[in-house]
Amino acid sequence: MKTKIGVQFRKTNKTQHTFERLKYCKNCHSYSILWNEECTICDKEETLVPIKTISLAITRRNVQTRFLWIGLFACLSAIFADTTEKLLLACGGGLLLFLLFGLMQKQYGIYEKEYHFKKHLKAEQRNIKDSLLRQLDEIDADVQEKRIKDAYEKIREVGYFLDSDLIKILKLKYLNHFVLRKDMDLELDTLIPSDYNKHFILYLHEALKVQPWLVNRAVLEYVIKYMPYIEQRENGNQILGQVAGASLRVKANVYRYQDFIIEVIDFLPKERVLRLAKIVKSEQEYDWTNLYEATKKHVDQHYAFDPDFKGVL
Amino acid sequence: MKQFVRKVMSDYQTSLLLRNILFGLFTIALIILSVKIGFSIKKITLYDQAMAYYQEKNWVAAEEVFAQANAITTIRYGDEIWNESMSALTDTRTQLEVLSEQIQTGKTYTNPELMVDVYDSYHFLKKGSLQADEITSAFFTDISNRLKMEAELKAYFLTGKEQINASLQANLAQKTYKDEEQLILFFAAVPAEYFGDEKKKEQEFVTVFRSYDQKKFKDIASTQSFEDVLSTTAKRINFYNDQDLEADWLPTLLEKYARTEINLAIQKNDLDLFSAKATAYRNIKNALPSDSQVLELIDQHIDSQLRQAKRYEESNQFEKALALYEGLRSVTDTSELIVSLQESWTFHEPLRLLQEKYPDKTFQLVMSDEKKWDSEIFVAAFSKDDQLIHFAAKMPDKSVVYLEDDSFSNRVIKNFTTIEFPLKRKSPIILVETDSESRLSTYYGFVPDLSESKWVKRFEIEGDSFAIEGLNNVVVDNPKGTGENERAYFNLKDTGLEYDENNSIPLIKDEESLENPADPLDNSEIPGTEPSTPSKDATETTGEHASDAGMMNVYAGPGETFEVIGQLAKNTSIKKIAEKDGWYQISFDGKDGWIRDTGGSVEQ
Repeated sequence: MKTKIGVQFRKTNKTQHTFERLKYCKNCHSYSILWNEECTICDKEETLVPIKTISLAITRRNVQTRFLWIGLFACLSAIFADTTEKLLLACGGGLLLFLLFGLMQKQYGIYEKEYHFKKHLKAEQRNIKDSLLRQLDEIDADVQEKRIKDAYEKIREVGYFLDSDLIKILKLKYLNHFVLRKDMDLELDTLIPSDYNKHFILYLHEALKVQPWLVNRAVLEYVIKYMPYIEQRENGNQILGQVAGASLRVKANVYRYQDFIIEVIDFLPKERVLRLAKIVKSEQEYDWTNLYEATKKHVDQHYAFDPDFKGVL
Repeated sequence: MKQFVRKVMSDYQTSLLLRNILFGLFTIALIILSVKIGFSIKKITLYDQAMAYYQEKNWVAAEEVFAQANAITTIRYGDEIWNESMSALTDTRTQLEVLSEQIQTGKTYTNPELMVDVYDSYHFLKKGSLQADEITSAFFTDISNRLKMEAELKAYFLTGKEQINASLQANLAQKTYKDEEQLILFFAAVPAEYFGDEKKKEQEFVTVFRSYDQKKFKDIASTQSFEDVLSTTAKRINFYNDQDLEADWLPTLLEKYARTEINLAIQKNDLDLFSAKATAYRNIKNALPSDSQVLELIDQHIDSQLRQAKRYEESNQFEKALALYEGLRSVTDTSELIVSLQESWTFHEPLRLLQEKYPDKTFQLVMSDEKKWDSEIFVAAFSKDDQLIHFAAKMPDKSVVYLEDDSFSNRVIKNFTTIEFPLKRKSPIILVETDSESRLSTYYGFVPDLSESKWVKRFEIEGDSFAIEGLNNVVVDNPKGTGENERAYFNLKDTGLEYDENNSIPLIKDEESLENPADPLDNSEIPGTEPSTPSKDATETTGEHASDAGMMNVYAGPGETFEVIGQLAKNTSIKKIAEKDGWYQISFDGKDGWIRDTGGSVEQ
């Protein structure tokens, strides 16, 4: 039996968009998705800059460059002017162009920023991909060095960009090395693989122990889909009961997955049955006659004399 | 390209670089533009100031400020017409300033040519400016006065004149005569204005340089050679001519001097001296007047000498004539005359052909004739020195063919002559008579083949006498072999002598002839025959005249009209040099003399 280790995960940043996690090194022209403030690739301790900041800087410089072109041409035309009239015309024309371009830039500059950012992201796709692959290599090295926590934290960051079973399974493998706690920043639905996977079931079992609220529709769908496989596990029924019990936290889920609940109601712990009984008794607007009947039957059979259930149904 | 740039640097870096480069360029352009604007403002300010001066009629200040404004070329500004007029003033000022600098340079380095150019340029400018409008004229005067140009030029040329006179006097005093050409040029270059006018300049030139040249000529004529005096003076005359300066005193001096010297040579009758001086004088012909009396004197004397040489030639005094021709060769072309003389001399003395070829040999048995074997003239003679018969023939192309014959090296040559057959008078046979072992003589017949330069032997026969008869017959008394004891007749063929039995007759020997068979044959006894005799040019035995007795006159020329230069005993042996009209030329007391061919007195 494996000995699980107790760890404290570092907080992962919550961002509105995934790209906000990308940071650019101005020195080695690489990207980082980790928590570091300085580049770990190049020797120089260059401060990493968010990709959005870089894109905005490039856009700003492009605008400056255009202003400089206008200024340069205006100056050249004035330099080559051989009469006072031509000189004044060149200077005036240059200033007018300058002002017009400034106004135009003020009016439409914002659109250019967005457009240029998308273009920049597209252009940097390969570079970003290369950086992520390099990150996987580092994770592999961490595993070799038994730095599972670091490996998990890194692959968690990579997982924001790469949605694949490989990443999910690796995450699950690493997570299964840890003692899970209630205060941990755990994830569940993001780890659902496309196929049945024992590591996920194992993790599901442990995670629901400490954070049952992680169960959502995606988890329920996966469990219902692979329920036969789960049932065959050593503690399969217990897991199913955990999932069904966790699903009772949202009335909509109760209604949606009442068949699943009916099926595993025998594996629900007492307090989850009590919760189920209260739900089906209080929320009469839902059409869950079968669930009501099944719940009533289960209560009558197992908790007929339990004072907690007295008067519930 | 874009992909390559992206590989080298990121968009972030590219944008930064491009922005910075453009910023740099823009900054530079901005600085240049600022400078341009600054200068343009300055130009406009100066221009307006110049215009203000102009309106105040202060032309010099207006031009000065305008020139400063005009020097700024960053921008064009102002009224074009006014600009042009002011630019013209600027040109005038610039030209005057350049001339002023040249004056200072000319003064510093003593360069009269430059100063004359400056003077001419200045007056050209002045003339143009004074003919222009009032502003230009006033401006020119102001600038000229400010630069003190006229005063500087005047001071330079007046000082120069004084220096010329001083230098000339110094040359005469020291007798060194240096820098003369520079002094003349400088004098000629000094503008007439500083003499008063052109006429006064010419008068001063004549006064100064005539006196100088006369004194100098007197000096060099007394100290230098004739050629050096001519050379020095001619050089000076040519220099004057080249500079278009009229200096007629030098040719006059030269003519007088040369006439004296050449007359002296004529009086001394020294042809070489005359030729040398005449040549030297003729060499400076281009420096002499076209009617040079000395050149005429030279020509007259040369003609006189040529006539004298002709007279010598006509009187056969070829050596004297040749000496005159050779002496005159350097002053006139006598080459053709000398060639003609040589030909005449050769015809007169053909032996010269052999004497020129063999100057160390003495010749005997000389014979010569003209127009034989396609030659102009030939001569044949026997030399005791090498025991050979030498032959020389001058051909129509003036070449000379020489032949030698050594067929008689073991024989004693008695005589040789030419025998002519009536139909072949231009191709006679040379008959050589030598001793014989069995007869009185051996007779050899030869013909020279001048085209092949060789002898052709026609016959060889031994006999007691030899004669020719008729057109083609040879008569030999008692020949050895066929015709022995006969007066044998032979026909001369190409293959030799062919015996003619029909005409041959037996010889009748009398007692005297039997007793003395070695006596020569008396040919007069044979009717119709011609005895074998040497040619008229050959002398018997030694080629010397032998006489009977008494004295004979020796004349200076071939005739009794010539002066009698001496007398000669008739039996004296003497060498004949040539023959003419029955007279023999002989050498008499070291001179050429002539004796009459007295026929019987000379045995031939």
